Amino acid sequence: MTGGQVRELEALAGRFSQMFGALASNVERVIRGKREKVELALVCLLSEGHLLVEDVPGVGKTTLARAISASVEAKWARIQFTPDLLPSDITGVSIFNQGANAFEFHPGPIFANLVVADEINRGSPKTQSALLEVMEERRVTVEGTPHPVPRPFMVMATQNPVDMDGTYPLPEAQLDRFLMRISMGYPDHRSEVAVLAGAPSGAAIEQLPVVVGAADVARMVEFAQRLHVAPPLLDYVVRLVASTREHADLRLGASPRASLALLRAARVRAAAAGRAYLVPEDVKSLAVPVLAHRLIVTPEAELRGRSGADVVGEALATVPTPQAAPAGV
Amino acid sequence: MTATRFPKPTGPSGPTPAGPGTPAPTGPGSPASAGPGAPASAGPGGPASAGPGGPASAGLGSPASAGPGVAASARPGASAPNGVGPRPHVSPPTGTEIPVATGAEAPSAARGRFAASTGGRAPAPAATGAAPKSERLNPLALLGTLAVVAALAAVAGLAFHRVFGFGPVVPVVAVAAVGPCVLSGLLARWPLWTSLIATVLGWFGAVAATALRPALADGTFAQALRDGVLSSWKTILTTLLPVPPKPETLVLVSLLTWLGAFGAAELAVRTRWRAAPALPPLAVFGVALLLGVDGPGSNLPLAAAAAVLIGALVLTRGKGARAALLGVPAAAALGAVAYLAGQFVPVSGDPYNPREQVQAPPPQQRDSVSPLDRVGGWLLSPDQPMFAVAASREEDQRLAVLDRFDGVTWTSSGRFVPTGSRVPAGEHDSGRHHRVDETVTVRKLPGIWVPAADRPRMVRGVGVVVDPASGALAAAQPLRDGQRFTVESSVKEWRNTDLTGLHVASDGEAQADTQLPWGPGATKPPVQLAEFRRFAKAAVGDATEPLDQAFRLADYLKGFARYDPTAPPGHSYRQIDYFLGQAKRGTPEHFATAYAVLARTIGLPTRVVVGFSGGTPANGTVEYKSGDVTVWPEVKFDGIGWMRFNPLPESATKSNRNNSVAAGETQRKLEQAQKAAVSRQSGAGGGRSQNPPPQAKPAHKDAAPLPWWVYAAGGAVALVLLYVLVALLAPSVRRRRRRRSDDPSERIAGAWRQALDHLADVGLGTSRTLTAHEVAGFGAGKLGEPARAHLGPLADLVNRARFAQPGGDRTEAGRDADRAWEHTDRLGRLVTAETGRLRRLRRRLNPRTLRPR
Repeated sequence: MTGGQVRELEALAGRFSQMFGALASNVERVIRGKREKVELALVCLLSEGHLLVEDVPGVGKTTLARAISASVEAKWARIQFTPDLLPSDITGVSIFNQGANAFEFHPGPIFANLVVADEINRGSPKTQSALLEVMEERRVTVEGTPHPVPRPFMVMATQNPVDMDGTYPLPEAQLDRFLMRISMGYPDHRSEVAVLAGAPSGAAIEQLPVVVGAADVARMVEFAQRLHVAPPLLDYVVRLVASTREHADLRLGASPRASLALLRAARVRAAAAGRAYLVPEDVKSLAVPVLAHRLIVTPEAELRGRSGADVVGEALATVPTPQAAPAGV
Repeated sequence: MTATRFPKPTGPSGPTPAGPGTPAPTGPGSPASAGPGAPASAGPGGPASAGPGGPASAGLGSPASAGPGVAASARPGASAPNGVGPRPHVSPPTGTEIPVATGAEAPSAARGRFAASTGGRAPAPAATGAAPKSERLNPLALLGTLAVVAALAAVAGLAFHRVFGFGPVVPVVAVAAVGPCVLSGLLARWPLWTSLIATVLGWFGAVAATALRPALADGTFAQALRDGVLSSWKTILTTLLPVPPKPETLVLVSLLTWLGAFGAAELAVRTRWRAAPALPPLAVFGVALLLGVDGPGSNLPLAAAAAVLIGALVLTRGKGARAALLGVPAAAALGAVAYLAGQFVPVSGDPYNPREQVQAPPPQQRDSVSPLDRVGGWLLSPDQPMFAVAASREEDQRLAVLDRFDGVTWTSSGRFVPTGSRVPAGEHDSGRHHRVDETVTVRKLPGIWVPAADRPRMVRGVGVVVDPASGALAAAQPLRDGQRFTVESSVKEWRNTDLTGLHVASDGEAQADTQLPWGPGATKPPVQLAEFRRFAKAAVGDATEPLDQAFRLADYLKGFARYDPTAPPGHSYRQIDYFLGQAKRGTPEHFATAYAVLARTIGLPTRVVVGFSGGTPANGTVEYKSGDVTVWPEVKFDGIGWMRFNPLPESATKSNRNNSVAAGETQRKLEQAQKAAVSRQSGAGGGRSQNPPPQAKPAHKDAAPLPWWVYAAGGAVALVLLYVLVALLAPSVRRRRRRRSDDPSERIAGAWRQALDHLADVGLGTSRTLTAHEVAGFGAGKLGEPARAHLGPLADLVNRARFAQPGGDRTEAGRDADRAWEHTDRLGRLVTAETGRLRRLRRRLNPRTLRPR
């Protein structure tokens, strides 16, 4: 790669960073005091991944999804999962048009750029599984006919903690399809006071300006995946993920899909930082949100209070990081 | 509602997501078709100004139209956002140390947060000295390194010249030093196991072509190879140097040199360690030094050459050809100085000799018939040609030395060991000597005893074993008619001063040589012993000095009996008693053995020597016949060793010898010196005790070396001073090397390493699980905000140098390197202000400072 190409990439990374910052700031006008969560959600969006937000009700999960969709000039839809929700309520149905004498497909709410699957774990497993195909292949097949969903496409699912009544835990296969799992957490005192003093969130969302268009999002997605990844970092990602497969506290480690997801998200983070290359911090900072929800902890370890996040944190603390300066210099 | 546009990338596409929603390659956002207002609206506004109008004001500009704020944010070390999302998973420093962990060790801070450990983890490539492929030497540097390695291995192999001599060693070493280097160089990019297999096969080929070529021809290859690998070191250790260059012994040279060269070459091509490749050849050099301790020649030139080559190795594996160009001549000059100075370094004591730990083979009967038993028969048929000697000077020829008497027979207690050609000097080999070169042609001499002037130093042309104590030679195979060999001897020249103040030797050998056993199977002492003692005392009279006693006894026997070659042979107590009491006639066998037994009765350690004296000149040689055989006794004195005495009557050297040459001049001078010494002692009145307290040692021995502890203390002080010097200089040298690298990215990495050293000076270690920014955060936490202003940008710069796509602007990279060192220097000043001089000195002297981080 010539010096000119490198400079161009760096300049594009700077633009990426600007736009990413603008997006985050825009969303943060509604979701106050949660800059890190907002940025993680945007990383997920620009990685073309899906986000699982797990927390108690009332901490801004749905608001986050709405604020992002409002900022990116994208069509968004909201599906409230209930035990009696049917798969066709999500994907759509084919109805016979007597005038045209043919079946017509009536798309469901899944045909949007940002889909908020609210309280996904309240849906029945059958309904939850209706999301599998569209999350992985970005299309819905109804009566043998595939119907692609628009790009960018992101499912932002929220769920209450699984130990609450009336919930169905997500199967492993579906958990693996979420790029990240984050927890919103309660706002700090100052932010909560600001929320009380300000306008209700619903009104603020509607006032949010559109920062980037859908086409620009697509270009940002494409650009992020062009970033340079040094070989030691690839090695580091594999070591990190592989270390979870050997861990005694885990029944199921992270899959190769997890490696790909981690690298994909790290690229976006690097671009958001204005860099045209990845550094170890990009991988380390995203390891927990990307990997933790994919790990299945053994019952014994669970009794000891261990979680997937603990195991990933342990891996980060033990797997040597690629050193900025090689030994012997 | 206006949205910000992201420019369309123009470079090669990466992994673009496929699908119906994939944006078209071109669009309104591409730089070529930047939307309206792009250049005009581009400006320094960044994310901070994003608001309802902020993002829009960022503009749609192409990269070229991006304002300075954009460009600056893209440069690490400037104002680039340092990250998004949650902070990296690190623990804050506990106390003053950042936990250090390598490989399987989890950092303590991390353990503090995450109680359980997952156990072992494979270390990152950088944790070892293994060189990643991308960082291996370039071909030219590799070639240079391998050449130096091969030369070093050759020097190590040539150190075996003290074992075998240069001639046999050179071809073997040349092949064994070069071969593995070539193979390792060719297989540098292949796995190590391929190189291992190739080198094993290569060595078989090399050893078959060099050391074992003769064995290959006669079909004993496998046997010689096995003996060479398993037993050659034993042969070498039990053979006097130089060792005969047999194929099976040279195998050891080939094997060790090959192993040394292979180990060095593999370390050179597969690691970044600079001096480590010198270790295998140095180990070989050490083995060669040990095995050749007693050998001829010196290894000083080779040691100097090895020092020069190690210096060259370190320099050629360094960074930059300029350093090598300047350094190699400097190393050569230092090596030359070391060589010249090394010759004047006083060395006290003898080097450790592993041969001293080897138990020599026990005495054994080397011939079925003692040469002493053959004397009578030879004298009865005196014209049988035994051997002929072409010599530069006529000397008596010594055949066998017999020092053990069991009451019936005299035998040798010599522990004969094989030798290539060299015969070691004797215990008392000081004084004046003259060299005698002899060419001996064997005629009818039976047995295995090899005639030579006393004392032989070199034997060529016949395989012999030698008794290092007496210097007596025995052939490995019985001598045969016509066999010819050469002997180089060093004959002692006796002077009057040598014979003054002599005392009887009292060492172990001498005590053994005063023993008078009762005889095989005897249960009581022979009755003759008392008579012999009375006879001896009567013979020596009032003489009390050992030399006087020995001389008077010989003189007495000369006149007591007459020479008669027809006297019945034998030298047991009974026959000596018959010789002294009744016959009073005998052969040299009788005179010498009677003298030896009589002398032992009065405490003189004695042995008998069978040899030839006189001889007949013929065609430029002296032919020794059976009638020229003679036997003489020797007495051992303290400080000068064995001295020959002549108890034979004058007729014994003149009878039947009309054509014989005169007896050796050396022997005549000895007799004259003995007579003069005895006369002086008689004139002085004698009366001194036989075994007075040992006198002080000669003056040159008074200048004894200093006690060992003086050298040990001096060496320890020197080592401490050297360590302090190295510990103080190493950081400066390392800093200079880091700063002067030609590659900007290496200079940046060096700046980071230097910054880590600074952090170590304030007690912050580094962990292999920490990223650059995490380390920077810890450093800033320890040193305060001023340090953050340097560590943060420095971390950005080093991350960019290490992880960014190569191919950027070299000039810009150079400026980055300068900035990195500027940050490092300022950090260093902060650290200097933070830590006191004493603390820094203490840290400097820590051994860890010698090791690059």
